Amino acid sequence: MHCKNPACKEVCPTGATTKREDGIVFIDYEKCIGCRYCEVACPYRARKIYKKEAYYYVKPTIYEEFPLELRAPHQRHTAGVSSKCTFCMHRIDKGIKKGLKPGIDPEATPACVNACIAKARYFGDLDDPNSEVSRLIKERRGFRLLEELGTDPSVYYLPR
Amino acid sequence: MAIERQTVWGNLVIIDTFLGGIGAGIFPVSVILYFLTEMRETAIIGMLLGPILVIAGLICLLLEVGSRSPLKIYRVLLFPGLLTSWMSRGALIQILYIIFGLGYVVPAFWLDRWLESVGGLVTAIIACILALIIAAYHGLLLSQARAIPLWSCSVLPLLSFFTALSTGLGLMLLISLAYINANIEKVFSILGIAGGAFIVGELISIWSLLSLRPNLTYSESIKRLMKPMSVVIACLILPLILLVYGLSPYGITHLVWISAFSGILLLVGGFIIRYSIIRAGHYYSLQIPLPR
Repeated sequence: MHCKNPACKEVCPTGATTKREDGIVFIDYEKCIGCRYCEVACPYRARKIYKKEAYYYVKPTIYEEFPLELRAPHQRHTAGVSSKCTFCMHRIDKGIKKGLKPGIDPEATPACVNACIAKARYFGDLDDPNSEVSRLIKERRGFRLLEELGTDPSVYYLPR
Repeated sequence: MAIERQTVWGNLVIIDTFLGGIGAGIFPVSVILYFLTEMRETAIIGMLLGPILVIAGLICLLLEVGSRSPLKIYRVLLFPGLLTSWMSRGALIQILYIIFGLGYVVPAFWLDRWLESVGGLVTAIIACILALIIAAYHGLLLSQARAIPLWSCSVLPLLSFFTALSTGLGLMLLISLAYINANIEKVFSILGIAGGAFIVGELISIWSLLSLRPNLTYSESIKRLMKPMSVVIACLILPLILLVYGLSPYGITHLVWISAFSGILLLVGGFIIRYSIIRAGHYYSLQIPLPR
């Protein structure tokens, strides 16, 4: 949920959970020991540990077989360490380098936002009051889950 | 997602909290017994058992939380984890306790008067302080889990503290049975008064835990806790009555039986508390409210 005050980061005993300046919370898989403390700390159940390697299809695809050492650090996920949504930060970073704007240009936007056939997902800069996401939250009374816990998540739901 | 019971942490964490709690609780009790009574051999056994039980608990914790990446486990003792995570802090405090606890009791097998020396006393005081922190630590570890309202309850560290002390004292009562001598009345008077205080503290903590109802998820957890907690309360009230009876002039002739029953009941009660609290943890419901 990429909280401003992430419970998972606070409990992480190895410092594997990190928050970037842009608010994206991600895991350094090489530091994660798979203790599952983040799983009992995250109120949104956004954390998961797979005991065995799991593939999208029965057999691994060429993307899944891609050697770990050749992948970017945030793509080196293996079984036994915690996993979570990264907001496709590799796409965002690549897009920004190209001068694209996340949430507007598909190349700089998370894959789920691009792929959603119902166009039910939006992505953008919450700090910018003129961004589409800020406008939608204001107009459609966007709300967040379990706000009373003080985690300040970055994911909003639009009721209507 | 509706309210769901947590299944992330299981039996090994329960055993860790139980053994670690006894290991932390027995040390200060043993140190007090060593200096205030003649039953010094028994007290030394208690002091030795403290760090050993914490080691056993740590092994269980490592099997649960560190078995997936054993080569990376040293990272738990590094920054930034130590700054924010109770798992990191607890690991460091437990290691220090093992070092100071064993550092106090083990040299006594070779060095005469080590336990009463200045160096020994400083080591004992540090070990006792660390033991008291560990007594509360298991509650602090759970209280950082914000996803589970029962665990993140502020009463839990206090309950963990008193449970650790009462179970440590319970084990000490059982060990003292093996070294009964003419001085049992004095030993029992110390253990009885301390035990009574710990049990009262534990009962108040349980009452606070059960009477709080901050939200629906917490209430769901309390529903699951009611049956085991009624057994726990029986396991605490009965020893409390027995200990008070043992301290009275009528109970002096039954001290052996009172110690045995009280010790067993305190240990059973302590285990049920640890087991039921970890098993009764429920996650918050993530059901999205309907639009108005």
